Amino acid sequence: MASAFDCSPASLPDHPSVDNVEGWDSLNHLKLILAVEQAFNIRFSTAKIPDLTSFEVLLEEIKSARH
Amino acid sequence: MKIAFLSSYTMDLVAERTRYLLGAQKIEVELYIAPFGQYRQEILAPDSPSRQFAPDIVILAVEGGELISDPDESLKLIQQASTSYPTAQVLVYTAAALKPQVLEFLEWNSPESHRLAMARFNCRLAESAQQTANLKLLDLQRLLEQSGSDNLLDNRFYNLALMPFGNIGIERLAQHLVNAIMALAGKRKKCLVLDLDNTLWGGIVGEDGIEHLKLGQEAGVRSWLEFQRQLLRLYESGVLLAICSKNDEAVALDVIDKHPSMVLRRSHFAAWRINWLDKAENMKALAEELNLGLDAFVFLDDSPHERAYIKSSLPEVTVPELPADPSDYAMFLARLPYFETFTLTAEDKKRGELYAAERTRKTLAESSVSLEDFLKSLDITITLEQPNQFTIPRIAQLTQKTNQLNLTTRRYTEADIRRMAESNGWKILAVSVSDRLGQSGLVGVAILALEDKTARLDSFLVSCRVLGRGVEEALLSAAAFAAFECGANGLKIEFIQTNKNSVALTFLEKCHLHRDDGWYLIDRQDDLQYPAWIKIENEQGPH
Repeated sequence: MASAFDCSPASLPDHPSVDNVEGWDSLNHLKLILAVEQAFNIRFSTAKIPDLTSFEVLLEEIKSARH
Repeated sequence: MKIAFLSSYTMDLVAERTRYLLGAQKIEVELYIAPFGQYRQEILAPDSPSRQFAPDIVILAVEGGELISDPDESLKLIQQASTSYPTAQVLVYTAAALKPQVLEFLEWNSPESHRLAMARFNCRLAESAQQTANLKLLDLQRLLEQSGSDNLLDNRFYNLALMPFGNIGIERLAQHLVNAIMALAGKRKKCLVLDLDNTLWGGIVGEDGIEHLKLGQEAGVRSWLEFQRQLLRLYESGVLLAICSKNDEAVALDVIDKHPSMVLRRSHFAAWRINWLDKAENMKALAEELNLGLDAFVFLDDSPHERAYIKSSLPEVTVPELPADPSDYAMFLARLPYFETFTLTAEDKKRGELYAAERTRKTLAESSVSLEDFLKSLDITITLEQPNQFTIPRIAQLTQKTNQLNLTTRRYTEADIRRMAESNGWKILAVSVSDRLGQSGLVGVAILALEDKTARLDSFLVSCRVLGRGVEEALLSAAAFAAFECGANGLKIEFIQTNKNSVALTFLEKCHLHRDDGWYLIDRQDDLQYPAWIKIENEQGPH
């Protein structure tokens, strides 16, 4: 997440989301999704991608995709 | 380096990845990424942000279908881009289909074909680019073919953000741009060093013997032929080829000279070290012989062990991982970015020959009984040239670049040379040299200032390429003769010392000229000669 948003991990709030992270714009959102897909070898549907707007939601999705 | 991205689709992630990869090549990049769809305004508005950005490189990416919706307009716009960014190189992606099209077999077989329209457009675009110095084309279609559009494109991101590419596509496009920019920035490597056994041919000549080497048209051995053919193509484009191999030199050269299926012959190699010594030492020796830095070298060897050794002993040498299967050699070579270039100069096309000739001269020198025998065997001809529109640029360049055999190190521009050539108070002599092994081109300049009864040798310089063969002696005699022809009684010569031209003083002293108050003098009484082994000609014929 920090690498997608070009900031330090320490600077991220406890519950990062589009609402409380300044660098989380639409382009960086795509960067994040691309990075997550590559790192965990998963693929999200088009409809789901815009909804993955917080760390918790993403984590849930990654977990369920890996089952 | 400032790079501007103009596009009809989202290129932000490609741009950022390109910047990152160029950073790894020690090129710091500042980016301007125009909002997608804004490319027309950026190009046409005189004070658009990209024009104010004053980029060194402009990348123009417009989807193929959009380009051909109005081909004339698109071509005009692209041409306009080359003038909107006069100090930049404008790189334009050719029209390629990034969006799916139904009705595959109508393509090419009907006038409604999109592919046909794109091909026609690309042809016109290519003609335009070849006539425009700062317009270059990038073949997006080739990228899609090589890696497969299925692998590069991602419909989800096109849907969500008008970005056609997924992870692999972004990486591939960024790498492609890096290769293009490195080629434009003149980072082309200069020399490809090759191993022999199992690299240029199949088998080990020392063990199998020349008759049993795998090289030819037959099944299973064609790959080395293809590989050599592509190497030849590199040679013809000005890349130097060299050999570094653990072998008996005579045995190896025998294959190169005599094997009927060899594509590359001795004359294609600028230098070689074929022996049983350490390969890293050999590589350094090659660098010295060719007067190149190790960072100009790329080394191909089938042995992972040898590759690893060179990689660790000589980190400046680029050592690509040649694939294990020789069937893949030619394609691997085709995909190496190190020799890419956008233009071929006349000098590029002749470089191989020049180096081969120089190699032969060196060998002759080593095997000649005496220096004079060697020089005689070269059949050296010196041509006295007049300053004219063709020679003036080279004359000026020589005054600017020659540091060693240069008596006074006066630097002149083309305008200066032209002015002196047109004036009665000056006489400019230039010499070009050729011998039976090749031409060295224009290599010496003497500039005489015709002041009263004694002419002054304002400049006297000879390129270090041809020193030691009598050219400098001949030029000095020619300068004196020219002074007398212009009515002077003598030629006075001065030496202005720099920290690079001690060889010029050595030459002058060797001529044993009269001295007078710091000047060296030649007058009509002196017995001026041209060296016996040199033939002197004017452009019109023998002197």
